[in-house]
Amino acid sequence: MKIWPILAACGAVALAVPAIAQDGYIIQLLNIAILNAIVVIGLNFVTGWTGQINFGQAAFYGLGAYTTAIATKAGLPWITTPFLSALVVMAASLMLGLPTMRLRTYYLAMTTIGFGEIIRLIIVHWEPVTGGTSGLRAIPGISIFGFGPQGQVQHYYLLIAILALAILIAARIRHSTLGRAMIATKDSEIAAEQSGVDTVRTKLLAFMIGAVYAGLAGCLYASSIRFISPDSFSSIQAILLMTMLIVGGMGSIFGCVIGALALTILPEALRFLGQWYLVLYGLGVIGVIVLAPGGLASLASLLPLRRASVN
Amino acid sequence: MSYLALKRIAVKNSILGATAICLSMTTAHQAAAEPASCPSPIPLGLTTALTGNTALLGTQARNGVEFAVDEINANGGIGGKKLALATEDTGASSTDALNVMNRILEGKPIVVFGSMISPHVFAQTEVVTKSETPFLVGATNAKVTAQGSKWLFRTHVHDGQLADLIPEYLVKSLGKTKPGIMAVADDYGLGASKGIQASLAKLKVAPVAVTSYAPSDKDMSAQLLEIKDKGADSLILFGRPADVTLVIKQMSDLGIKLPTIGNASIVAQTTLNNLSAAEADGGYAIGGMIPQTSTDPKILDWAKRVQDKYKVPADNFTVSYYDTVYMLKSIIEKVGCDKAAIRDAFAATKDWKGMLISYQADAVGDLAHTLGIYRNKGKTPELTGPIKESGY
Repeated sequence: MKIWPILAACGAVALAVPAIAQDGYIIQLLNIAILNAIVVIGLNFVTGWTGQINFGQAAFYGLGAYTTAIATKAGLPWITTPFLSALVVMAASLMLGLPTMRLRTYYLAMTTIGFGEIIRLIIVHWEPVTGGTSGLRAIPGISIFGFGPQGQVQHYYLLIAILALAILIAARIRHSTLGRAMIATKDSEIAAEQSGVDTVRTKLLAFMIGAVYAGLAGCLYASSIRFISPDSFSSIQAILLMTMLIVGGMGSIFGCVIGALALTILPEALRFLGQWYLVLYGLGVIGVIVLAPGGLASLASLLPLRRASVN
Repeated sequence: MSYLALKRIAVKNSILGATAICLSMTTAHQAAAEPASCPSPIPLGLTTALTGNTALLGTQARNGVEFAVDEINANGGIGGKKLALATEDTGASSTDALNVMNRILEGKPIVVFGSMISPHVFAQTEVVTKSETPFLVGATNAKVTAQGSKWLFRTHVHDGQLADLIPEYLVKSLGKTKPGIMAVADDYGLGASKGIQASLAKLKVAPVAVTSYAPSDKDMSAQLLEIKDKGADSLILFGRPADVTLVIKQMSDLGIKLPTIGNASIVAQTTLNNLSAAEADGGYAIGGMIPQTSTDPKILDWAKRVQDKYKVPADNFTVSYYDTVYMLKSIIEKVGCDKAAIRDAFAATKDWKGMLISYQADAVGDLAHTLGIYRNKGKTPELTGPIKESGY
């Protein structure tokens, strides 16, 4: 099946959404879903392709957001903040990655949970800088030499463009030597090392690239929502990001986007059920994991198989 | 048709249009002063935490709004128009709080009742202010009304008031000079802890230990033992009912007997329901007004009816949000449903008699200035007396 017509159709739908929706609430929701998608694509480098369980992605997301908020509130031009955010999260991912990349499975997962909690505690208690639990508000918006998106629709188009770029870069990396090394590391570290892959370096690079994705998404989050507080980057958010990856389909860029869209929009779409929406939401997530272990992205490939088995 | 003819028609249409706009503005201004001009039903919005770790508080606030709305509707509404309340759950996340606020604002409510969780209100204030809708909140962070929004009003007492009054009562009335401080590490507790430390410093008292715990923590024994080991003569405790219950139970288990004073969670019915009489006895609290401590049979009956209807005890937030709906009713009866007029009326509130206190607006939009001092006698909270913020 050719991928380009599908991509073109997705692009056309994405561009037409604001005209169809004409609803600030829906556009705002999509903006958050797009930001989540960028963070999940970042998580996919580490977990989906390299096979390392990482619950620290929300912390990198928060670090990017707080770096941007603190820098712009201090008077730095917005254009510097994506670079600053990327630098901060790269430094943080190196600090976390260097001593922990030799850990595997549950041990690494526990370490990343601990890292997320340390970042949260720093944000909560370093009040003069981070605003503590009250958060930071009135964060300057996106502005490049005086020009910046105004309103949710313009933010939407900007975020869609950045998501497309993030997808393109991820796809290029996937088919590069590094991408193949990541997959080899996930399949079997011993076999990969026997084939000459420096698995520790590969894992570290995956970790850093994933962190940069999260940091840049955090930068955009702070500048478009214009308010941040620790609860947006808590361990619950880390679990939600991992769920988006699993439900969407680990290892699939398309799955990352679908997972982020589904799990951002689904809870809102089910709100008419009142407090029962959480039950249905949970059942939906369990249903996807049980019926399509490869995630939503695998449904397209499952359908022809099912049809063939019926025939 | 010639260009001149087109221009003449355009000018004529402009004059007619302008006249029509002027006339409609005049009539709209007159009509806006009456509830009859309100849409039917009158749309109201509420965003509050109904899930997550602050769901109990959010539910109690929701109950206050809903109970008042149901009462008003059962009595014929306002000027014959029923109130239509749209409620959305903020959960525990500021991002979700912003999402649901956008959703609520799509329904064009004439006012929005906001959460008592301050970060949620911080996240929502900009979008509500842009929509030029009165925003009535119970959020307790002192900075909530310092955001500079002329559309935001708070009808519940805040941490700044408590932070001044708790140390003053502890030192001057109870004669304790070596307190330990323990607070939940969220916006509510840490903000109050800092304020209390500043107020203690003004009284030339230094706390022997300052500790905190995460909102999801279940074991606070390390913090309690630190406070005990450092020789505290009292405990200032700031938290939510669920965690305050755990702290008091663990104090009892560890054999720590310290006079305890804190926020209204210490005397909240939901806390007391989970404590024995011996555990609860002697705890002091300063905070919003709690209906169960009233001696007025009407208020006790109201608290019972709320409890019967929702199976959750009414608390200080229930009272505050209930009062706010009735305050709104009296304002609509005077000025109609024009949002700017409602905002101006809230800003001009003076001695409006609520269920337990009178409300008066200050320059930043704070309307509640009276707090209650409570003491648990066994499992029954007793009102030691009301206490007013200085200047009121």
